[in-house]
Amino acid sequence: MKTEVIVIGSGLGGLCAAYELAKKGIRVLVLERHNLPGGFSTSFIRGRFEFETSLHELGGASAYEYLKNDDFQLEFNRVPEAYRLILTEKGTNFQAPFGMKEFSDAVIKAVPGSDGPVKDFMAVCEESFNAFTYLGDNSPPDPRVLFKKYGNFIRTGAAVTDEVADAVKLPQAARDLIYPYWCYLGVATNKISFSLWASMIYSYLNFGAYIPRGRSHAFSVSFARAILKAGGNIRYNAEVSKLNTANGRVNGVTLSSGETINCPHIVSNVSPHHVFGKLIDSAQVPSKAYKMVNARKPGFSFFVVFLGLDSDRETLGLTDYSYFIAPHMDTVRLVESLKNRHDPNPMQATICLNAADESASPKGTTILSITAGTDPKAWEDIDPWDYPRAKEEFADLLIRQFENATGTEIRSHIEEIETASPETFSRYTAAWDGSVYGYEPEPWDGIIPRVLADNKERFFKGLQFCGGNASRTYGFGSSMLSGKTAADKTIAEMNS
Amino acid sequence: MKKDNLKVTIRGPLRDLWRFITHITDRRRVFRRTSAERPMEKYSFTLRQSLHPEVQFMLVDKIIIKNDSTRSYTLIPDTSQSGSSQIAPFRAGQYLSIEVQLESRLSISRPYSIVNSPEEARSDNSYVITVKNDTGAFIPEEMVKNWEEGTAVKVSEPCGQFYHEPLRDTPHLVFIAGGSGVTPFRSMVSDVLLKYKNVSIVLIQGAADTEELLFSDYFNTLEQNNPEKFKWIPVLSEADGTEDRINHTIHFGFINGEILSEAFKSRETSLFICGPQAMHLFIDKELGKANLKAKRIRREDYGIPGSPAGREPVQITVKMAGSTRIISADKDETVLVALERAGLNPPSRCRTGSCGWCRGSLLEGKIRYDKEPEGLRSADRSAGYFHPCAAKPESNLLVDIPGRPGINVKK
Repeated sequence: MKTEVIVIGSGLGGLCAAYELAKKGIRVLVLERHNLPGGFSTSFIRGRFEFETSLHELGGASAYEYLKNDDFQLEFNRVPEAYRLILTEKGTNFQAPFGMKEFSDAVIKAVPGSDGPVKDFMAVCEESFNAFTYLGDNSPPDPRVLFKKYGNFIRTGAAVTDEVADAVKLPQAARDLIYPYWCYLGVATNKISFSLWASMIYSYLNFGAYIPRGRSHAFSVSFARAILKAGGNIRYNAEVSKLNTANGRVNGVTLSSGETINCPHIVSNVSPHHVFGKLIDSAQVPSKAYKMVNARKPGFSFFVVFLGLDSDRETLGLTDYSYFIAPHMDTVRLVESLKNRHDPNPMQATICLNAADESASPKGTTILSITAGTDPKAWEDIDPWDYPRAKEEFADLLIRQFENATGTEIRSHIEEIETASPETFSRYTAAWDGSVYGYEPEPWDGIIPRVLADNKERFFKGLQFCGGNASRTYGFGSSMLSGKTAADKTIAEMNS
Repeated sequence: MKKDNLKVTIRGPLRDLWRFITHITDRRRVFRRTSAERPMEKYSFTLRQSLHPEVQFMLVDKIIIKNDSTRSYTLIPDTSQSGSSQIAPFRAGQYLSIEVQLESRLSISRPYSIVNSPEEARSDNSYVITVKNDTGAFIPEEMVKNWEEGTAVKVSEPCGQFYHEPLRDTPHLVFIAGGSGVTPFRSMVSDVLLKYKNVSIVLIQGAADTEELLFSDYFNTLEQNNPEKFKWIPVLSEADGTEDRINHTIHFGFINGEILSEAFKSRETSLFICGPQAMHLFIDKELGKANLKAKRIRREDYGIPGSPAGREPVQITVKMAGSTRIISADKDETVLVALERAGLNPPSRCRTGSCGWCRGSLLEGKIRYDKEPEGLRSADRSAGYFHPCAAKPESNLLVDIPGRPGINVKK
């Protein structure tokens, strides 16, 4: 039986694509270089703790609804509140609730006199989200509806977030409280496409967020099982070292073992950087493809400290699920600090898993994971033999920062500790330069330009991309659902 | 929330509209002024390659006979085979999974702790492993018989979590070794004493006789040079008249509560235990009797025991890398060993159920674990994945096992 579609990489996008294809009776083969499915979406065990590798919270309705599918049998826990924000230089300590109204009210209460601007700002966010929904449901969209119902979306669609905040005269103190989610996109508010940012914040605040039982590894295993059940195939430890093309179309792959598999359709969960830079013979790649890749900037990476603590969270005083801790909320300066792994005061996003899932670890214990953004470049000067010490220093700094900001003592409770750096992410996922987030969505590379340019930026027939670098941009939900888009396009191509 | 009369403009309504339309086509302008060079991965990739090579091609450089059954091997990079001329860095206490070709088809791997410290390894650009030849163990027998200077071996990146971690461990450390379980501690004491000034270590080294008391000169000297920070307690099962060779007080019998209390010194302790499974159980009992509780415990097991095959045969149908094979197995051996005997070259590293490198899918049949594998993820357990290195077959099985990375499976 000949393989009809090969999926390279079993990140959530690749898994979703394979699942959608297999469900329709298409013979699909997933090739994964690691021995596990999921890419970033997995877990690992140290002692009596199973740690979440990367998911902080699954925000918004669309991904959640998709995963509630009976094929998957997943169980979810709801995240109790949006976040606890602590700005150490300003003395800010703010608890942000879920719910657009509740959130706005909390900001207005904390920043007297900000009533009008906050409401306006949040209303434009909502409109942007609704406009995306309209665009998703109506292709091609009716320009009259767009202009009449979504005028603010059009006028702010090419803007960056700061420009919209300026336009509604949002005071700095209110921005401090509203901006922390910037770290889920990883681009400063003076650069990030507003429409994308707005849609993200609305998804989180309006619908809330969930985490799966069994960590995000449960997503990956559920997809893998569903793919096999639908007749698809997955091979692990099978690294694609060449993507074969001829006359402008793909015709198969060669594995690092030397085995070649012919196939006319390929969905790549692997980034365009990797596909054009490494997998396709350079003589076959048009210079336009290289230009497209070089113009885009792979998003930043992370440093994570995973802690298994020997007491329950009440004893430790860990009251919240999600902590954002930073000296201030000047996102431009915070992005700048990512370049320096010795910055004494970075921003950290810290999750106490047990606050959403009491059964996340054995009774009387707690899982806490501290994440700080970091530029892979900040690690290039490290002597490989000093690498453990470099990780130890960064971990020490983040633990101290957390303890100081929250007034808790966790250090003497560390029963298990593990750290992950850009090297770790690069090792397990082979992501380009250890980048965790996909291409940075500045306005020229936001969702709308990507979607509209998608058909023009295809350099090989039979090749579709999915995952965090594809048209929906990154994050768990977007990366995953991009697989459905890639599957639909592949099917259309097969039928044409 | 929605306000019908809200009208937000950035640069004026018409200019905003124009900007919206042009931002879609801006990308063409951006692309036009970008370089058409083939992109290269630069930053973390280079470091990753040094830290986590997919495989290390090495040569046996020196062989030192420690005693009748034990050899030390020095491994250096085989520059004719691999791009890297440097060994991958490691943390003291980690192991290498060493692959040995037994016959033309049969290639198996076993984990061996790195014996030299990171500092020593770095300056010599070599790893040292010390191997005890147990009767019936494939790899040591092969090593003793056929390894010589210049023998080529394939070695994994350094693996495992059996190492000192200053953010977790107490300043007082107690290391307990049984037999060849002392190998990681040779590296760890050297490394920790060098790097952490405020740490004290007690090493309790259990062995059958003075022959088996590996590295005794090294530990003896280290103790004399660091009397405040390092204490060595050798424990031999019984006296055999050769003890004079060791110029040190020796305990006889088993590692009991009294010795453990002496090591703990009533201080908060991080305990590290390495040796056969039976020793772990014994130490746990003695700790209980002496009412001692370590604040932190790390363990390194030496493999899952199993009897020689052929007593209760079962059949395993193996799907691997696109082909299917039927092999025979025994209820008393692990699924991994059965796969190896059949020449299927399955992936493996820790061989104790923790690292998950051998993870496979159990499609039909029943398996049992003598000890629940520590590294099995909860979602894996409920979806039927298993760790073949720790699982024994209870019935005929149908399993799906990934091939080893980069290796063609012979059909």
